[in-house]
Amino acid sequence: MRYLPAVLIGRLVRFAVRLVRPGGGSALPGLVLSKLAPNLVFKTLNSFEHGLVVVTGTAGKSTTTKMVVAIVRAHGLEVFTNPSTANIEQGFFSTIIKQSDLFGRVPGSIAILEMDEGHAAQIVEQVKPKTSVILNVFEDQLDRFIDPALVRDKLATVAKATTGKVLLNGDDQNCLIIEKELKDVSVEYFGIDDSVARSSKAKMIYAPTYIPEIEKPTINARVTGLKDKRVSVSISGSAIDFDLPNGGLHFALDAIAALTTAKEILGKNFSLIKAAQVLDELPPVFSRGEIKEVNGEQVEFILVQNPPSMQLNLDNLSPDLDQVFFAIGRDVHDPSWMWTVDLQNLKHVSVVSGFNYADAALLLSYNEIPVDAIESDYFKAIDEFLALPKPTNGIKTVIYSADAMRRLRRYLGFTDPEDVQRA
Amino acid sequence: MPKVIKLAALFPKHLNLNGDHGNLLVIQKRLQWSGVTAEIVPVTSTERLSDFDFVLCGHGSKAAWADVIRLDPSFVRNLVAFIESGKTALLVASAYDLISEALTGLQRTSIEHRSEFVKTEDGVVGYLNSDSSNKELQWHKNALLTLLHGPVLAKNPPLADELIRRMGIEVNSDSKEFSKIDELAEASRRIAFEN
Repeated sequence: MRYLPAVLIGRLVRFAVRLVRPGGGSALPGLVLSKLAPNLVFKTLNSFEHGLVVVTGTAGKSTTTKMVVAIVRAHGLEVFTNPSTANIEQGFFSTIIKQSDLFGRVPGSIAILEMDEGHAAQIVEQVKPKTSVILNVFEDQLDRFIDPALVRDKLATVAKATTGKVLLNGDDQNCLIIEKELKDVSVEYFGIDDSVARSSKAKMIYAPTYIPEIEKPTINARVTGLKDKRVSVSISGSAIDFDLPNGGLHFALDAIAALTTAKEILGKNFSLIKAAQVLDELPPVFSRGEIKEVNGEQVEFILVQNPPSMQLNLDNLSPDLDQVFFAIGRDVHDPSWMWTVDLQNLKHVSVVSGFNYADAALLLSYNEIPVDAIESDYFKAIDEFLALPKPTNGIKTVIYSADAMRRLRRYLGFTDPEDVQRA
Repeated sequence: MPKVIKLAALFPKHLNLNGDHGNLLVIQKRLQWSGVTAEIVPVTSTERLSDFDFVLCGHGSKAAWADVIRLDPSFVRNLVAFIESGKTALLVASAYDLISEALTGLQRTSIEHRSEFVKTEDGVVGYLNSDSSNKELQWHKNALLTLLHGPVLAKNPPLADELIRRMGIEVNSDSKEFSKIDELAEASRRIAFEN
């Protein structure tokens, strides 16, 4: 009963916001609920029979979480989770409004949540995860975190608060440093075989630690092969192949992290065959290599949120792209990081736009990447791009940051984050 | 054969946390558009800095700096000597903080941390993410010392052209590449305060 008025008000706010802006409105209701019932999120996250699983790190949280949730659900557990746009505390409140009954009770026997690395360190002060998954540390969001070592410290806080098992990326020296700080908590590693990482055109450049290299541990869950979308994995001696939702080394890492996590959650009930089947059929998280039909034409949507995601996605671009839309939105508070990215794979841009269009265009101009049009009016830019004649390679490519993504999706009427198809 | 201007990128893998090395590209292209060839050379020892016309020293993490000093123990002394000799340089954020006392005699202290776009008294716009008591931007001889990280020269082309002038080269601003890119820089400076 205690939370009934707050949840009711939150729901009304959500209803009102969605009347005005279909598909939007995830932030404000969460903010309202967080003010009215600040403890609700902790009470909720503490209430699951099988505990809380936190997926965190710089990159890959959304895709990994979606993979873990799909595998665990396929094994029969009811899961509470958050959409990829709601990985900070306010987002958890929004998710509760959406999924709870009027008393703030949410369904599910386990919570599997992706968490922003800064917010995760705060949340675990109140709610101890049973399992935590730390994917990686890249140089990212330095306007917020200042130094990559501070990100590592926040992730270490999450690991230390974990009551069951910490799952770490054994290829990332930052994760090995975190392991050295842990006491009384067991650890398991996932990773990518060196031969696979070496042969990939995209490279995972984790934040350098500048200390003598820590010897790589024994990694029982490994990516052993990768060709386009086809991935081979080995987990505790069992091997299997399946197709990833998208091609790319980073998606292979997400998959092996997800399989390791699902195995930890499900224990002896885990079936690698069933898990691989799930991943084989899983659609991508929206805008992570998603392909949609717009005005009768195929358009690929690629979200770039930080230096590693921009670098990995550009490295994976097809060399024969004809039409590219490049939009950097308001979410990029300090666009400086774009200058750390190697743009050599981006040969030509059709339209540059977004709130930070000028910084994006400056970057492209000094790199002498040909740009056909620079358009400050974002919706005009979208129309201009979509009106271009059918591209020679048959597909248009949209590369955008999170704010530019949200605006474009709303503008085109893509309001359902689950409505994503495999390419 | 015309002289090739040599631009040193000091420890580019260590000291480019916020894209400061983009400023080298800005100088190289503005020289190129003025008809002057320039090459960017990654440098991981300061022993022969005098071979260069310009040095860029960017911002790095604490761990990166510890490694730089371990690899090149004479780093500070050599960089100070290069600047005191009157050569042109750009030092950003922690690089500026590291040698500011040796150059200016003023001790750097910690003040309230700020992470935001700022406009200096000279109208220069850039991103400040620092708790340093040092001035946001100042010249020491022909070295530009600034706390503003990232592509500060792309955002403020007059600053890039002033550095080039101090190398003894006049920028040919009639070149067609300049007008469009300088308009973008103006828009970028305006947008910085609209978010």
